[in-house]
Amino acid sequence: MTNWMLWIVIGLSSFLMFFTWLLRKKNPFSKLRQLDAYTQLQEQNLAAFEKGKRLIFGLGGQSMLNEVSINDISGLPVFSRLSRQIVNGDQVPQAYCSDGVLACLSQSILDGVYKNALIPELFSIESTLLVGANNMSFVAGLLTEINTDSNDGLIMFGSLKPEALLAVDLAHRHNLYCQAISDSPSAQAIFYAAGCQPVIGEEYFAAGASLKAKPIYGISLRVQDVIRILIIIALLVGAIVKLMGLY
Amino acid sequence: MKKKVSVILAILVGLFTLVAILLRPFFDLYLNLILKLGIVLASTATLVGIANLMLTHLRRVSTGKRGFFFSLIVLLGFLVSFIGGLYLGHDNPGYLKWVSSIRIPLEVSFFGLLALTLTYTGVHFFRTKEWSPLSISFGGSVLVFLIVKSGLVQGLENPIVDQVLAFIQRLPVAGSRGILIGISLGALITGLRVVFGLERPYGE
Repeated sequence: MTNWMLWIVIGLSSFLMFFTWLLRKKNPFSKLRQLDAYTQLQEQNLAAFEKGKRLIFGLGGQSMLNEVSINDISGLPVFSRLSRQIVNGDQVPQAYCSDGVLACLSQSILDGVYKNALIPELFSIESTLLVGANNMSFVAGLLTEINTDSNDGLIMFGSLKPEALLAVDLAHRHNLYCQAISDSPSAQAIFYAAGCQPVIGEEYFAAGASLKAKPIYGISLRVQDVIRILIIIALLVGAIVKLMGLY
Repeated sequence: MKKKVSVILAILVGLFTLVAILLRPFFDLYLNLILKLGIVLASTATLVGIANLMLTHLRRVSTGKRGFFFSLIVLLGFLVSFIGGLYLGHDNPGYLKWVSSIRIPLEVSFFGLLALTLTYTGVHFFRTKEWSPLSISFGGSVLVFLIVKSGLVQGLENPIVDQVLAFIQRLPVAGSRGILIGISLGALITGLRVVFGLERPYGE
């Protein structure tokens, strides 16, 4: 993509975000389609809380040795929102990360959750751990933590690769609730086949809006939809122009 | 105040990086500097993460928590490879060979296990999934591509069949392109949220 196209895309996205915020700041989540994969997360989280158990989080999945993916941080609003729900529970929220930066960020989020709940003394640095430096070691580290009695389910969120199926399979064998959400189309297909609720393509980015974590997530989801419609129109016009031999 | 400073710093660095990328090659010198600073910060975060993990395992061993034996193995493995790397150097051929001789068989066996689990999951999907438009289309396309990719139909050497096969094989490319456009848009919007300080994963 040339620089002027990047300018246009970024400028248009920024303008649309500002414009949508002006239009929708009072009801950012109205008429947004609810996704079962995300609505179930809250229900299962509260069910675990009632039982005196917890859901554990597997965040990330991207190998530290490869390129950095901003998609990994999309799991943080989910972690923050669900942790806030169970902050007073018998079990502390627990996250296992595949990356040092993600581990530090999730620790910072959890620290904030406890401070906001006015119980900062309950925060423990053991609640968020870096368990592996590549995809395989992340899954291997996660496998050993799934077996704990205090767990009622596993939520995996990030740039997961098909290897994460091993963790999903183990969770199912222990009759634990399991939801794995990835931005990789191949991993999405595998998780669906393994019995997780389907999350297809860009639905990966709808987590914050579905959980109503912050108004900005609803606004950015609407902006994504508008830009997608513009791209579809551009593709159709381009195809017609090419068919007519005009370009 | 501390929170505000970190937010302002993050926004300024984000905006500068964005502008520097768009106005390349004018700001390449500064872009490289920011990239190097980013690498240093990420490496520090990784070190903090590793230290935290080791402390947690040390605590598990010292309190005799269930499964502490595995923690002991983690600690010993880390210490041996860490001290080995420091003493011999991380690019020492002997050290690399020694680490690889443990890591590669483990990864290969992991992949073997994954292949088995994938097969089992595939069979399980057809046995237990309820009928829905998504499950039918998913299951149908899995069967079609299994047959197409197996090479059985190509053996017929029929030009019409070959044309149909070529069309079918183009379908996943078109589909995945659509999905990737959506995912790229999502990544772009997430990036903009962070750059403008609307999403602050670095503090609640």
